[in-house]
Amino acid sequence: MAEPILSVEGLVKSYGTHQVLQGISFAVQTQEVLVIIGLSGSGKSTLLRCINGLEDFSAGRIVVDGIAVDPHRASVWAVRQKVGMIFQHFNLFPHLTARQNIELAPRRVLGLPLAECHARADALLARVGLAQFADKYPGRLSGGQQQRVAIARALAMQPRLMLFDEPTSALDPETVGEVLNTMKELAASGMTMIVVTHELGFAREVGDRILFMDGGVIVEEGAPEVILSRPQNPRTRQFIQAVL
Amino acid sequence: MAPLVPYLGILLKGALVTLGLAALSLVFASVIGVVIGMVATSRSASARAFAKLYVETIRSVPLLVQLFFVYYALPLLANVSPSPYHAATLALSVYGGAYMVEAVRSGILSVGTDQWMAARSLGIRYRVMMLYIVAPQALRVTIPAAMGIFIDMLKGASVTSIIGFVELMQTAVNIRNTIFALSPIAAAAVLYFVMCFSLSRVGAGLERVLRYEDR
Repeated sequence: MAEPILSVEGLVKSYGTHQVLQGISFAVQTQEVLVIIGLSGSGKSTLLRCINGLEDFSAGRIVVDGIAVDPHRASVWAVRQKVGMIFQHFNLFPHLTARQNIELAPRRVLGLPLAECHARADALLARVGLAQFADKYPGRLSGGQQQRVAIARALAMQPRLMLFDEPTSALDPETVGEVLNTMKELAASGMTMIVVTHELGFAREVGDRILFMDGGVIVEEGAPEVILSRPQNPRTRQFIQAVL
Repeated sequence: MAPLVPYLGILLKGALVTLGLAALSLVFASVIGVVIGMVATSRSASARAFAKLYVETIRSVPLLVQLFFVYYALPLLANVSPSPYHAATLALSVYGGAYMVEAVRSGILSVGTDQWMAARSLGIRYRVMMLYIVAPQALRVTIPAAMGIFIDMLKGASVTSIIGFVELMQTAVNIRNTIFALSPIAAAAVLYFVMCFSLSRVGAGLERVLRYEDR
């Protein structure tokens, strides 16, 4: 097997005496779609934030594309350029139009010429089906549209790995589908993805592998049909019955 | 009112001196506000404590007392003798600066951590984030507050008459001592009102311009 794009070994994260992550280990291969499921508070979001150095961790090791993640070292910026992140609440910049949201990082981080940033932004907006919304401010877009702009914004940095932190949890039911479709298209194009979600249908259809987390540990992992249809662990079974 | 008429010109000039003093002090206060305001939101606890010390000290001592300190104590302590104008500018800048720190700080804090996280996840570092993401959003909170501070400084400038700086208030007092009537003080009040009310309208206008929610 090739060198994994991401490897996490013995990751521990504690707030005071509370251990949010209690020794997490897994690896992700290029072009793999890994879905992480679990109750809220099981440490899924914290895990994602540790991967791109948004949060410090107490012990263990994370390596992204050959770079060890350490939020206190300058190398974390190289990691962040390789890793795109999608947030539950989109986190678009409200004072910038959709196009400006997408252009900002390529322009100010990569220093690309404005024309190139423009072209890149417009191509990405077209890809997520929002070409006609380029000059709209986030406040004028629906939740689903905002999340698709956020995906385009992350893609503009041409990441090797995309992290999705409950991308559809804050959406109205009628706009969940358009975001999931965008993510499906992304997976089909070969993007390596880690998706934290409660959308088990998406997990089954798009996921290559599912991790079930509970209480800061990985309880069970395996192929979607195994985890979703024949879970071995009683806690996994309980969770899947509750969500379905 | 008739005896006042010949003096209207110098009253207006006094108003302009007040406006000039307040405006120059506002520039310095803004610089102080931005620099110390960023210190006040930094990650270092001791830096934040320093910013807080400055803000709380200045805000807890009357401007008049600070003015006395600058004009009378500075020559003794630091062997510099500022002119009334320089003392007035310094005192007013340091005074307004403390309030400006709070305006800048609350502006920066009004930009949620979700924006900081989004920026960092895109590889955007502190300087670019402050310039292109935090500042434009913080200004919505900071600019209207700054207009209020400017108005306070403009009114506070009247205190500088006590160290012999001739601005609008001292001009009015001088005229009163010449014509023995209260009308110069009433005229000064009108001029203060016109200046402050106009600034307050400008502030409200800026607030509208800076809104982007309904763009």
